[in-house]
Amino acid sequence: MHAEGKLDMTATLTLEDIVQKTSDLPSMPTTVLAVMREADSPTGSSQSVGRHLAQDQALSARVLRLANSAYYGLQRQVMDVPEAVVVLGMRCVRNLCVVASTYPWMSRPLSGYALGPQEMWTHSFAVAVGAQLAAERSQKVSRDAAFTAGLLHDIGKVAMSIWLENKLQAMHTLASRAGMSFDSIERKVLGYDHAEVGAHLGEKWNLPKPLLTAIHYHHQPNNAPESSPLADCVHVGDFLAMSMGYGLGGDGLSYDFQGETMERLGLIVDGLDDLAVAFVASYERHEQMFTQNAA
Amino acid sequence: MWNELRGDLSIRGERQTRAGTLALANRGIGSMSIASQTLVTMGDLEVVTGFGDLVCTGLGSCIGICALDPVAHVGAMAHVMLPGEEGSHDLTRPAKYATQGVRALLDAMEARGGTRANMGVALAGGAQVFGFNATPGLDIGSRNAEAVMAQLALLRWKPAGADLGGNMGRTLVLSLESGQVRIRTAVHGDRLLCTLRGN
Repeated sequence: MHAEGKLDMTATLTLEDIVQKTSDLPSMPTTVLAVMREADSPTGSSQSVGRHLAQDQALSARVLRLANSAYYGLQRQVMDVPEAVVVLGMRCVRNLCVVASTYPWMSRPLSGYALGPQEMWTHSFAVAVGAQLAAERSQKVSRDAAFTAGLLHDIGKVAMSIWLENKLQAMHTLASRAGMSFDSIERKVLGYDHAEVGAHLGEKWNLPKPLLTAIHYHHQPNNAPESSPLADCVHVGDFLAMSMGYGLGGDGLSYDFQGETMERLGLIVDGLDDLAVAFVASYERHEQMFTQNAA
Repeated sequence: MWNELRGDLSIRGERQTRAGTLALANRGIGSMSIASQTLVTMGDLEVVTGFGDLVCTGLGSCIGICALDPVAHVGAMAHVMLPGEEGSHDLTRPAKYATQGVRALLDAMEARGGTRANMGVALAGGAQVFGFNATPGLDIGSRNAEAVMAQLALLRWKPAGADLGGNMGRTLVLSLESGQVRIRTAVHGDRLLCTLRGN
Protein backbone atom coordinates (compact mmCIF):
# COMPACT_ATOMS: atom_id res chain seq x y z
CA MET A 1 0.00 0.00 0.00
CA HIS A 2 2.76 2.33 0.95
CA ALA A 3 4.57 1.67 -2.30
CA GLU A 4 1.51 2.25 -4.44
CA GLY A 5 0.56 5.39 -2.47
CA LYS A 6 3.93 6.89 -3.31
CA LEU A 7 3.44 6.09 -6.95
CA ASP A 8 0.04 7.80 -7.11
CA MET A 9 1.77 11.17 -6.76
CA THR A 10 3.35 10.75 -10.15
CA ALA A 11 0.12 9.80 -11.87
CA THR A 12 -0.93 13.44 -12.30
CA LEU A 13 1.97 14.20 -14.62
CA THR A 14 1.22 14.08 -18.32
CA LEU A 15 3.77 13.08 -20.93
CA GLU A 16 3.90 16.71 -22.05
CA ASP A 17 4.54 17.78 -18.43
CA ILE A 18 7.50 15.46 -18.23
CA VAL A 19 9.13 17.06 -21.26
CA GLN A 20 8.03 20.64 -20.46
CA LYS A 21 8.80 20.70 -16.75
CA THR A 22 12.08 18.85 -16.75
CA SER A 23 14.83 21.40 -16.67
CA ASP A 24 18.21 20.76 -18.21
CA LEU A 25 16.92 18.41 -20.90
CA PRO A 26 19.48 17.54 -23.54
CA SER A 27 19.18 18.52 -27.17
CA MET A 28 20.71 17.32 -30.42
CA PRO A 29 22.91 19.94 -32.12
CA THR A 30 21.71 20.97 -35.57
CA THR A 31 25.18 20.24 -36.97
CA VAL A 32 24.86 16.60 -35.94
CA LEU A 33 21.40 16.32 -37.49
CA ALA A 34 22.77 17.83 -40.71
CA VAL A 35 25.76 15.45 -40.75
CA MET A 36 23.42 12.48 -40.19
CA ARG A 37 21.13 13.66 -42.99
CA GLU A 38 24.01 14.13 -45.43
CA ALA A 39 25.73 10.86 -44.58
CA ASP A 40 22.44 8.94 -44.92
CA SER A 41 21.48 10.63 -48.17
CA PRO A 42 22.29 8.90 -51.47
CA THR A 43 23.62 12.25 -52.70
CA GLY A 44 25.75 12.87 -49.61
CA SER A 45 29.51 13.14 -50.10
CA SER A 46 32.62 13.54 -47.97
CA GLN A 47 32.69 17.17 -49.05
CA SER A 48 29.10 17.91 -48.02
CA VAL A 49 29.52 16.09 -44.70
CA GLY A 50 32.78 17.97 -44.09
CA ARG A 51 31.09 21.28 -44.89
CA HIS A 52 28.38 20.72 -42.26
CA LEU A 53 30.84 19.39 -39.74
CA ALA A 54 33.08 22.44 -40.09
CA GLN A 55 30.23 24.52 -38.57
CA ASP A 56 30.95 22.98 -35.18
CA GLN A 57 34.50 23.51 -33.99
CA ALA A 58 34.32 21.18 -30.99
CA LEU A 59 32.99 18.32 -33.12
CA SER A 60 35.54 19.02 -35.85
CA ALA A 61 38.33 18.83 -33.27
CA ARG A 62 37.10 15.43 -32.06
CA VAL A 63 36.91 14.08 -35.60
CA LEU A 64 40.47 15.27 -36.25
CA ARG A 65 41.61 13.72 -32.99
CA LEU A 66 40.14 10.35 -33.98
CA ALA A 67 41.66 10.53 -37.48
CA ASN A 68 45.05 11.20 -35.90
CA SER A 69 44.68 8.65 -33.10
CA ALA A 70 46.84 5.57 -32.75
CA TYR A 71 43.77 3.51 -33.66
CA TYR A 72 44.17 4.47 -37.31
CA GLY A 73 47.96 4.54 -37.21
CA LEU A 74 48.37 6.97 -40.11
CA GLN A 75 51.90 7.92 -41.12
CA ARG A 76 51.09 11.61 -41.50
CA GLN A 77 48.97 14.11 -39.59
CA VAL A 78 45.48 14.90 -40.90
CA MET A 79 45.10 18.67 -40.70
CA ASP A 80 41.62 19.53 -41.94
CA VAL A 81 38.07 18.27 -41.60
CA PRO A 82 37.34 17.33 -45.25
CA GLU A 83 40.49 15.19 -45.30
CA ALA A 84 39.51 13.58 -41.98
CA VAL A 85 36.14 12.65 -43.47
CA VAL A 86 37.89 11.01 -46.41
CA VAL A 87 40.29 9.15 -44.12
CA LEU A 88 37.67 7.93 -41.63
CA GLY A 89 34.79 7.53 -44.06
CA MET A 90 31.41 9.23 -43.89
CA ARG A 91 29.83 6.52 -41.79
CA CYS A 92 32.48 6.62 -39.11
CA VAL A 93 32.34 10.42 -38.93
CA ARG A 94 28.56 10.35 -38.75
CA ASN A 95 28.59 7.91 -35.83
CA LEU A 96 31.39 9.71 -34.05
CA CYS A 97 29.36 12.96 -34.23
CA VAL A 98 26.31 11.28 -32.68
CA VAL A 99 28.46 9.70 -29.98
CA ALA A 100 30.36 12.91 -29.18
CA SER A 101 27.20 14.99 -28.93
CA THR A 102 25.39 12.56 -26.63
CA TYR A 103 28.28 11.47 -24.40
CA PRO A 104 28.31 14.54 -22.08
CA TRP A 105 24.71 14.17 -20.91
CA MET A 106 24.44 10.41 -21.24
CA SER A 107 27.36 9.88 -18.90
CA ARG A 108 25.59 11.64 -16.03
CA PRO A 109 23.98 9.52 -13.33
CA LEU A 110 20.20 8.95 -13.46
CA SER A 111 19.15 8.28 -9.90
CA GLY A 112 15.50 7.61 -10.82
CA TYR A 113 16.69 4.44 -12.55
CA ALA A 114 19.58 3.78 -10.13
CA LEU A 115 22.05 4.34 -12.95
CA GLY A 116 25.40 5.58 -11.67
CA PRO A 117 27.83 7.82 -13.56
CA GLN A 118 28.62 6.36 -17.03
CA GLU A 119 26.04 3.57 -16.72
CA MET A 120 23.38 5.13 -18.98
CA TRP A 121 26.17 5.78 -21.47
CA THR A 122 27.53 2.24 -21.26
CA HIS A 123 24.08 0.76 -21.78
CA SER A 124 23.17 3.08 -24.68
CA PHE A 125 26.49 2.52 -26.43
CA ALA A 126 26.15 -1.24 -25.98
CA VAL A 127 22.64 -1.20 -27.46
CA ALA A 128 23.95 0.89 -30.38
CA VAL A 129 26.62 -1.75 -31.07
CA GLY A 130 24.12 -4.61 -30.63
CA ALA A 131 21.53 -2.98 -32.90
CA GLN A 132 24.22 -2.36 -35.51
CA LEU A 133 25.26 -6.02 -35.35
CA ALA A 134 21.63 -7.15 -35.77
CA ALA A 135 21.29 -4.80 -38.76
CA GLU A 136 24.49 -6.16 -40.33
CA ARG A 137 23.35 -9.74 -39.93
CA SER A 138 19.80 -9.13 -41.13
CA GLN A 139 20.58 -6.73 -43.99
CA LYS A 140 17.09 -5.28 -43.52
CA VAL A 141 18.07 -1.81 -42.42
CA SER A 142 21.06 0.53 -42.50
CA ARG A 143 23.59 -0.32 -39.81
CA ASP A 144 24.22 3.38 -39.14
CA ALA A 145 20.53 4.06 -38.56
CA ALA A 146 20.51 1.07 -36.19
CA PHE A 147 23.57 2.44 -34.35
CA THR A 148 21.90 5.82 -33.85
CA ALA A 149 18.55 4.30 -32.83
CA GLY A 150 20.35 2.09 -30.32
CA LEU A 151 22.31 4.98 -28.90
CA LEU A 152 19.18 7.11 -28.45
CA HIS A 153 16.67 4.40 -27.50
CA ASP A 154 16.54 5.31 -23.79
CA ILE A 155 16.62 9.13 -24.01
CA GLY A 156 13.21 9.13 -22.34
CA LYS A 157 14.90 7.94 -19.15
CA VAL A 158 16.83 11.20 -19.00
CA ALA A 159 13.54 13.11 -18.82
CA MET A 160 11.77 10.59 -16.58
CA SER A 161 14.54 10.01 -14.05
CA ILE A 162 13.95 13.01 -11.83
CA TRP A 163 10.24 12.15 -11.51
CA LEU A 164 10.98 8.57 -10.52
CA GLU A 165 13.45 9.38 -7.76
CA ASN A 166 12.61 7.45 -4.57
CA LYS A 167 9.97 5.48 -6.47
CA LEU A 168 12.17 2.83 -8.06
CA GLN A 169 11.90 0.31 -5.24
CA ALA A 170 8.12 0.63 -5.14
CA MET A 171 7.91 0.19 -8.90
CA HIS A 172 10.18 -2.80 -8.78
CA THR A 173 8.08 -4.35 -6.03
CA LEU A 174 4.96 -3.81 -8.13
CA ALA A 175 6.64 -5.33 -11.19
CA SER A 176 7.80 -8.39 -9.23
CA ARG A 177 4.45 -8.86 -7.52
CA ALA A 178 2.47 -8.57 -10.74
CA GLY A 179 5.05 -10.40 -12.85
CA MET A 180 5.03 -7.45 -15.23
CA SER A 181 7.83 -5.81 -17.14
CA PHE A 182 9.18 -2.46 -15.94
CA ASP A 183 7.83 -0.54 -18.95
CA SER A 184 4.37 -2.03 -18.29
CA ILE A 185 4.56 -0.72 -14.73
CA GLU A 186 5.59 2.71 -16.02
CA ARG A 187 2.54 2.70 -18.29
CA LYS A 188 0.28 1.46 -15.49
CA VAL A 189 1.46 4.11 -13.05
CA LEU A 190 2.09 7.07 -15.35
CA GLY A 191 0.04 6.26 -18.44
CA TYR A 192 3.18 6.18 -20.62
CA ASP A 193 6.64 4.66 -20.50
CA HIS A 194 10.19 5.96 -21.00
CA ALA A 195 10.12 4.79 -24.64
CA GLU A 196 7.13 6.99 -25.42
CA VAL A 197 8.66 9.94 -23.59
CA GLY A 198 11.87 9.38 -25.58
CA ALA A 199 9.99 9.47 -28.88
CA HIS A 200 8.24 12.67 -27.78
CA LEU A 201 11.59 14.24 -26.93
CA GLY A 202 13.07 13.04 -30.22
CA GLU A 203 10.21 14.66 -32.10
CA LYS A 204 11.17 17.98 -30.54
CA TRP A 205 14.69 17.42 -31.82
CA ASN A 206 13.32 16.78 -35.32
CA LEU A 207 14.69 13.26 -35.49
CA PRO A 208 13.58 11.29 -38.56
CA LYS A 209 10.35 9.32 -38.22
CA PRO A 210 11.82 5.80 -38.48
CA LEU A 211 14.13 6.70 -35.61
CA LEU A 212 11.19 7.95 -33.54
CA THR A 213 9.31 4.71 -34.20
CA ALA A 214 12.32 2.66 -33.12
CA ILE A 215 12.66 4.66 -29.89
CA HIS A 216 8.93 4.47 -29.18
CA TYR A 217 8.58 0.72 -29.75
CA HIS A 218 11.96 -0.60 -28.65
CA HIS A 219 10.36 -2.63 -25.85
CA GLN A 220 7.35 -3.76 -27.87
CA PRO A 221 8.29 -3.85 -31.55
CA ASN A 222 5.34 -6.17 -32.26
CA ASN A 223 3.05 -3.22 -31.47
CA ALA A 224 4.64 -0.78 -33.92
CA PRO A 225 1.96 0.59 -36.28
CA GLU A 226 3.94 -0.64 -39.23
CA SER A 227 6.80 -3.07 -39.54
CA SER A 228 9.95 -1.46 -38.12
CA PRO A 229 13.18 -3.40 -38.70
CA LEU A 230 14.91 -0.57 -36.86
CA ALA A 231 12.82 -1.17 -33.72
CA ASP A 232 13.50 -4.92 -34.11
CA CYS A 233 17.26 -4.30 -34.26
CA VAL A 234 17.17 -2.07 -31.16
CA HIS A 235 15.06 -4.69 -29.35
CA VAL A 236 17.68 -7.36 -30.09
CA GLY A 237 20.52 -4.96 -29.22
CA ASP A 238 18.83 -4.15 -25.91
CA PHE A 239 18.45 -7.87 -25.17
CA LEU A 240 22.15 -8.46 -25.82
CA ALA A 241 23.21 -5.45 -23.74
CA MET A 242 21.00 -6.43 -20.80
CA SER A 243 22.03 -10.08 -20.95
CA MET A 244 25.73 -9.25 -21.02
CA GLY A 245 25.22 -6.78 -18.17
CA TYR A 246 26.17 -3.50 -19.85
CA GLY A 247 24.90 -0.56 -17.77
CA LEU A 248 22.19 -2.29 -15.79
CA GLY A 249 20.17 0.00 -13.53
CA GLY A 250 17.39 -0.70 -11.07
CA ASP A 251 15.11 -1.88 -13.87
CA GLY A 252 17.73 -4.53 -14.64
CA LEU A 253 16.50 -7.13 -17.10
CA SER A 254 12.82 -6.57 -16.21
CA TYR A 255 11.67 -6.35 -19.81
CA ASP A 256 9.87 -8.64 -22.23
CA PHE A 257 11.72 -10.13 -25.13
CA GLN A 258 9.55 -10.51 -28.22
CA GLY A 259 11.04 -13.48 -30.04
CA GLU A 260 9.25 -12.58 -33.29
CA THR A 261 11.89 -9.90 -33.82
CA MET A 262 14.49 -12.60 -34.42
CA GLU A 263 12.26 -14.22 -37.05
CA ARG A 264 11.51 -10.92 -38.76
CA LEU A 265 15.22 -10.11 -38.91
CA GLY A 266 16.02 -13.60 -40.15
CA LEU A 267 18.27 -14.26 -37.15
CA ILE A 268 18.54 -17.77 -35.77
CA VAL A 269 17.75 -18.20 -32.10
CA ASP A 270 20.06 -21.23 -32.01
CA GLY A 271 22.87 -18.90 -32.97
CA LEU A 272 22.18 -16.51 -30.11
CA ASP A 273 25.26 -17.50 -28.11
CA ASP A 274 27.46 -16.84 -31.14
CA LEU A 275 25.69 -13.50 -31.60
CA ALA A 276 26.47 -12.67 -27.94
CA VAL A 277 30.16 -13.47 -28.49
CA ALA A 278 30.28 -11.31 -31.63
CA PHE A 279 28.45 -8.58 -29.75
CA VAL A 280 30.94 -8.44 -26.87
CA ALA A 281 33.88 -8.40 -29.28
CA SER A 282 32.26 -5.62 -31.32
CA TYR A 283 31.47 -3.61 -28.18
CA GLU A 284 35.07 -3.74 -27.00
CA ARG A 285 36.38 -2.73 -30.43
CA HIS A 286 33.98 0.20 -30.77
CA GLU A 287 34.47 1.38 -27.22
CA GLN A 288 38.21 1.55 -27.75
CA MET A 289 37.74 3.56 -30.92
CA PHE A 290 34.92 5.93 -29.95
CA THR A 291 34.93 6.56 -26.25
CA GLN A 292 38.52 7.72 -26.01
CA ASN A 293 37.97 10.20 -28.81
CA ALA A 294 34.44 11.32 -28.07
CA ALA A 295 34.78 11.98 -24.36
CA MET B 1 52.10 2.98 -7.98
CA TRP B 2 49.38 0.53 -6.96
CA ASN B 3 51.74 -2.38 -7.34
CA GLU B 4 54.11 -0.69 -4.91
CA LEU B 5 51.30 -0.05 -2.47
CA ARG B 6 50.10 -3.63 -2.67
CA GLY B 7 53.60 -4.90 -2.20
CA ASP B 8 53.64 -8.60 -1.47
CA LEU B 9 50.17 -8.64 -0.04
CA SER B 10 48.37 -9.18 -3.32
CA ILE B 11 50.03 -10.85 -6.23
CA ARG B 12 48.26 -10.76 -9.57
CA GLY B 13 47.64 -13.82 -11.64
CA GLU B 14 50.11 -14.75 -14.31
CA ARG B 15 48.06 -13.05 -16.99
CA GLN B 16 47.92 -9.29 -17.17
CA THR B 17 44.35 -9.20 -18.37
CA ARG B 18 42.07 -6.54 -19.76
CA ALA B 19 40.55 -6.43 -16.31
CA GLY B 20 43.53 -4.95 -14.64
CA THR B 21 43.43 -4.18 -11.02
CA LEU B 22 41.06 -1.36 -10.39
CA ALA B 23 42.72 1.25 -8.35
CA LEU B 24 41.59 1.32 -4.87
CA ALA B 25 44.48 0.78 -2.65
CA ASN B 26 43.12 2.26 0.55
CA ARG B 27 45.38 2.82 3.46
CA GLY B 28 43.25 2.66 6.57
CA ILE B 29 44.11 5.28 9.21
CA GLY B 30 46.21 3.68 11.88
CA SER B 31 46.02 0.37 10.11
CA MET B 32 48.70 -1.72 8.54
CA SER B 33 46.33 -3.35 6.08
CA ILE B 34 46.06 -2.38 2.46
CA ALA B 35 42.86 -3.31 0.67
CA SER B 36 42.91 -3.68 -3.10
CA GLN B 37 40.01 -4.40 -5.38
CA THR B 38 40.44 -6.56 -8.46
CA LEU B 39 37.75 -6.25 -11.10
CA VAL B 40 37.04 -9.40 -13.08
CA THR B 41 35.72 -8.60 -16.54
CA MET B 42 33.60 -10.75 -18.83
CA GLY B 43 35.13 -14.09 -19.68
CA ASP B 44 38.08 -13.48 -17.41
CA LEU B 45 39.55 -15.13 -14.36
CA GLU B 46 41.64 -13.52 -11.60
CA VAL B 47 43.58 -15.08 -8.75
CA VAL B 48 44.78 -13.11 -5.74
CA THR B 49 46.86 -14.17 -2.77
CA GLY B 50 46.92 -12.37 0.54
CA PHE B 51 44.32 -9.68 1.02
CA GLY B 52 41.88 -7.62 -1.00
CA ASP B 53 38.53 -7.99 -2.73
CA LEU B 54 37.63 -9.69 -5.98
CA VAL B 55 34.68 -8.11 -7.78
CA CYS B 56 32.39 -8.99 -10.71
CA THR B 57 30.19 -6.05 -11.66
CA GLY B 58 27.32 -6.00 -14.15
CA LEU B 59 26.31 -9.64 -13.87
CA GLY B 60 23.25 -9.98 -16.06
CA SER B 61 22.96 -13.45 -17.58
CA CYS B 62 26.64 -14.06 -16.79
CA ILE B 63 27.70 -15.99 -13.70
CA GLY B 64 30.32 -14.87 -11.21
CA ILE B 65 32.01 -17.77 -9.40
CA CYS B 66 34.34 -17.17 -6.50
CA ALA B 67 36.49 -19.54 -4.48
CA LEU B 68 38.65 -19.12 -1.40
CA ASP B 69 41.23 -21.22 0.37
CA PRO B 70 41.46 -19.48 3.75
CA VAL B 71 44.45 -21.59 4.79
CA ALA B 72 46.63 -20.69 1.81
CA HIS B 73 45.06 -17.20 1.57
CA VAL B 74 44.27 -17.69 -2.09
CA GLY B 75 41.10 -16.41 -3.68
CA ALA B 76 39.85 -16.48 -7.26
CA MET B 77 36.90 -15.24 -9.25
CA ALA B 78 35.65 -16.14 -12.75
CA HIS B 79 33.13 -14.22 -14.88
CA VAL B 80 31.42 -16.82 -17.09
CA MET B 81 29.65 -15.49 -20.18
CA LEU B 82 28.04 -18.50 -21.81
CA PRO B 83 27.33 -22.18 -21.12
CA GLY B 84 29.52 -23.50 -23.96
CA GLU B 85 29.66 -27.05 -25.18
CA GLU B 86 32.01 -29.90 -24.43
CA GLY B 87 35.35 -28.75 -25.80
CA SER B 88 34.42 -25.05 -26.05
CA HIS B 89 37.61 -23.18 -25.36
CA ASP B 90 38.94 -19.66 -25.71
CA LEU B 91 42.61 -19.11 -24.94
CA THR B 92 42.24 -15.36 -24.42
CA ARG B 93 39.25 -15.61 -22.09
CA PRO B 94 39.74 -18.53 -19.70
CA ALA B 95 36.26 -18.22 -18.18
CA LYS B 96 34.27 -17.42 -21.31
CA TYR B 97 32.41 -20.72 -21.18
CA ALA B 98 31.15 -22.59 -18.13
CA THR B 99 32.65 -25.74 -19.61
CA GLN B 100 36.16 -24.28 -19.30
CA GLY B 101 35.76 -21.61 -16.59
CA VAL B 102 34.99 -23.75 -13.55
CA ARG B 103 37.87 -26.11 -14.16
CA ALA B 104 40.17 -23.15 -14.93
CA LEU B 105 39.18 -21.54 -11.62
CA LEU B 106 40.15 -24.65 -9.67
CA ASP B 107 43.40 -25.11 -11.62
CA ALA B 108 44.38 -21.47 -11.07
CA MET B 109 43.74 -21.77 -7.33
CA GLU B 110 45.83 -24.92 -7.09
CA ALA B 111 48.62 -23.39 -9.15
CA ARG B 112 48.84 -20.61 -6.56
CA GLY B 113 49.04 -22.94 -3.59
CA GLY B 114 45.39 -23.61 -2.88
CA THR B 115 44.26 -27.05 -1.78
CA ARG B 116 41.01 -28.40 -3.11
CA ALA B 117 39.95 -29.77 0.29
CA ASN B 118 40.24 -26.30 1.85
CA MET B 119 38.39 -24.38 -0.82
CA GLY B 120 34.88 -22.98 -0.53
CA VAL B 121 32.95 -21.77 -3.57
CA ALA B 122 29.96 -19.49 -4.19
CA LEU B 123 28.25 -18.05 -7.25
CA ALA B 124 25.76 -15.44 -8.43
CA GLY B 125 24.11 -14.18 -11.64
CA GLY B 126 22.14 -15.97 -14.34
CA ALA B 127 19.39 -13.32 -14.60
CA GLN B 128 17.23 -13.09 -17.69
CA VAL B 129 14.58 -11.04 -19.41
CA PHE B 130 10.89 -11.93 -19.38
CA GLY B 131 9.43 -13.90 -22.25
CA PHE B 132 12.39 -16.20 -22.73
CA ASN B 133 10.10 -19.20 -22.30
CA ALA B 134 8.24 -18.32 -25.48
CA THR B 135 11.45 -18.53 -27.49
CA PRO B 136 13.69 -21.45 -26.50
CA GLY B 137 17.37 -20.63 -26.62
CA LEU B 138 16.97 -17.10 -25.26
CA ASP B 139 17.35 -18.29 -21.69
CA ILE B 140 21.09 -17.59 -21.51
CA GLY B 141 20.83 -16.92 -17.77
CA SER B 142 19.33 -20.24 -16.74
CA ARG B 143 21.44 -22.19 -19.24
CA ASN B 144 24.52 -20.52 -17.74
CA ALA B 145 23.43 -21.39 -14.20
CA GLU B 146 22.73 -25.01 -15.15
CA ALA B 147 26.04 -25.38 -16.95
CA VAL B 148 28.07 -23.94 -14.06
CA MET B 149 26.25 -26.09 -11.50
CA ALA B 150 26.84 -29.16 -13.68
CA GLN B 151 30.58 -28.41 -13.84
CA LEU B 152 30.72 -27.92 -10.06
CA ALA B 153 28.88 -31.22 -9.60
CA LEU B 154 31.42 -32.98 -11.83
CA LEU B 155 34.12 -31.72 -9.47
CA ARG B 156 31.95 -32.66 -6.44
CA TRP B 157 32.24 -29.05 -5.35
CA LYS B 158 29.14 -27.94 -3.47
CA PRO B 159 28.58 -24.17 -3.34
CA ALA B 160 28.31 -22.59 0.09
CA GLY B 161 26.00 -19.98 -1.42
CA ALA B 162 24.26 -19.30 -4.73
CA ASP B 163 22.12 -16.36 -5.82
CA LEU B 164 20.86 -17.22 -9.28
CA GLY B 165 18.07 -16.26 -11.67
CA GLY B 166 15.54 -13.44 -11.45
CA ASN B 167 15.85 -10.31 -13.53
CA MET B 168 18.15 -8.07 -11.48
CA GLY B 169 21.69 -7.10 -12.37
CA ARG B 170 24.15 -8.08 -9.64
CA THR B 171 27.60 -7.27 -8.34
CA LEU B 172 29.49 -10.11 -6.61
CA VAL B 173 32.23 -9.31 -4.10
CA LEU B 174 34.59 -11.73 -2.31
CA SER B 175 36.66 -10.41 0.57
CA LEU B 176 39.82 -12.44 1.03
CA GLU B 177 40.24 -11.19 4.58
CA SER B 178 36.84 -12.13 5.93
CA GLY B 179 35.80 -14.78 3.42
CA GLN B 180 32.51 -12.91 3.06
CA VAL B 181 30.71 -13.16 -0.26
CA ARG B 182 28.39 -10.20 -0.79
CA ILE B 183 25.77 -9.44 -3.42
CA ARG B 184 24.83 -5.91 -4.45
CA THR B 185 21.81 -4.94 -6.54
CA ALA B 186 20.62 -1.48 -7.53
CA VAL B 187 17.26 -1.89 -5.83
CA HIS B 188 18.02 -4.05 -2.79
CA GLY B 189 21.49 -2.77 -1.93
CA ASP B 190 24.16 -4.93 -0.32
CA ARG B 191 23.66 -8.25 1.44
CA LEU B 192 25.76 -11.13 2.72
CA LEU B 193 25.38 -14.30 0.65
CA CYS B 194 27.68 -16.55 2.67
CA THR B 195 31.10 -16.75 4.28
CA LEU B 196 33.67 -19.04 2.67
CA ARG B 197 35.57 -20.92 5.34
CA GLY B 198 36.78 -23.86 3.30
CA ASN B 199 35.07 -26.97 2.05
